[in-house]
Amino acid sequence: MLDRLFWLAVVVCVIAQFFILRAVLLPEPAPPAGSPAETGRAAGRLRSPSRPLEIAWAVLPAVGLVLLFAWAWELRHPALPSPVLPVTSSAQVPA
Amino acid sequence: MTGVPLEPAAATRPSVDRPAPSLSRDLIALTKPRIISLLLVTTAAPMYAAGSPSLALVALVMLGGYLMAGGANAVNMYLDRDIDDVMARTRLRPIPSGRMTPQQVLAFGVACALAATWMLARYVNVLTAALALAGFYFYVFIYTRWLKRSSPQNIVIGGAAGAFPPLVGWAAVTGSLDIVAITLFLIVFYWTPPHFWALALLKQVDYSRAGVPMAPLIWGERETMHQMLWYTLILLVLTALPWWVGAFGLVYLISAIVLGLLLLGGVVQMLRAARAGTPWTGPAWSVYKYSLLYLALLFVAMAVDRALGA
Repeated sequence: MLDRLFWLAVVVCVIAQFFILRAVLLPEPAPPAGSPAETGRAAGRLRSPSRPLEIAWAVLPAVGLVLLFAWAWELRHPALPSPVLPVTSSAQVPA
Repeated sequence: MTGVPLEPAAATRPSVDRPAPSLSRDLIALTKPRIISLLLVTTAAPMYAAGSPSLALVALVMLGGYLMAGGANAVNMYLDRDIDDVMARTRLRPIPSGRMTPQQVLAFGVACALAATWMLARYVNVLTAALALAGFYFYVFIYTRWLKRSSPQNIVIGGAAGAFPPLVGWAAVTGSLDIVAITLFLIVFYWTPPHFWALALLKQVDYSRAGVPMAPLIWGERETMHQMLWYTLILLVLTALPWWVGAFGLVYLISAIVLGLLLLGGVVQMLRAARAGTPWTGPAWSVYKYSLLYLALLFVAMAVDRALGA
C-alpha cells in the first residue's frame, strides 16, 4: 500500500514536471495588445530569456526531486547486507 | 559601520499619509519584517520537529535568522534601488524616498549578515552559520543580482534562498542534515512559485515598468496559472513524503493534505475564472494570502505532530 502511494506520487511529479519543462520549450506567446507585457516589450524593458538557461532552470529542480525520491525509497527499502563469506585460516596468516 | 552616517537624508518626495519616518523605523523597514516573520516560522518549527531545543537556542537562532534575512533584504534594497523607484509598491522604501543613502543601506545589510554569521557560528554551530550565510548569498547574488532581471524562473531558482531557514533550524538542533531537512527545503522551494506568481499576476504593471521579466509577462497569464497548478501538485506530493519515510505521523499528514487541497482549490478556482473570462484577481489575491497561511500552518503542524508523538 505504501509503495503504491510512493509510485503514485512519482507519477504525479513526472506529469507535473513534464508540463513545467514544456512551458520553457514552447515559443513565447505574443502578449495581448495594450497589456503590461506588450508595453514592456515595446519599450525594450522586457527581453526574451536565454532558452538553454531556462531549460536548465526547469530541469534542475526535477533532478533534485529524483534524488530525493531515490533517497526516500532507499530509506524504506534498505539493501540487504551482503552475506559474510567464511574466511579460511590460511588467508589470515601471512606467508 | 563606523564612519557611516546613519542620519536619514532629507526626503526628496512629498510626504504621504503614513507614520512620520524615523531612523529606527527605516532600519526595521529595510529588513522587511513581515516577510521575515514567515521565515522565522519555517526556522522555528523544524527545530521542534528535529528535537527538543532549549528556549535559549531557539531565541539565538531566531535572532541570528532575523539578522541574516534582514541583512539580505537590506542588500536587496540596495541592489534594486533603481527599480524600487519606478514600482508603486516599493517607491516609499528608505532609498527611493531619499531618507537613507544607498551606502548606509548596504553597510547596514552587511553588518547584519556579519553579526548573524558570528552569532550563529559562535553560539550554535558552524553548519547552521554556513547554511544561513548560504541563504544570504543565494538571495543577494543568485536571485537579486542574476536571475531577477533575466529569467521568468527568477523566483523558482531564486526562491531557494527562502528555503534555507528549515535547514538552518534543523542543523541548529541536530548539527547535521537528513532527508527530512532536505524535504522541508524542497517543500518551501516548490511552495514559492505559486505564492509569488499569484502576486506577480496582480502586479504586472509594476513589474513591466521596472523591466522585471516575471512569468506572467513572458509566458502569459494563463500559462503562469497552469504553472502554479503544476508546482502546487508537486508541493502536495512533497508534503506527504516526510510521513512516508516515517518522520511525522497522522496529525501532520492530515494537516498537510487538508491545507494542500485548499491551496490547490484556490489555484484551480483562479484558473477556472481565467478560462471563463471572468475576473480572476480576487481568487489570485486569495491564493497569495492563503499561501502565506498555508506554509505557516504546515510547519506548525510538523512541530505539533512531533510534540504529540513524543
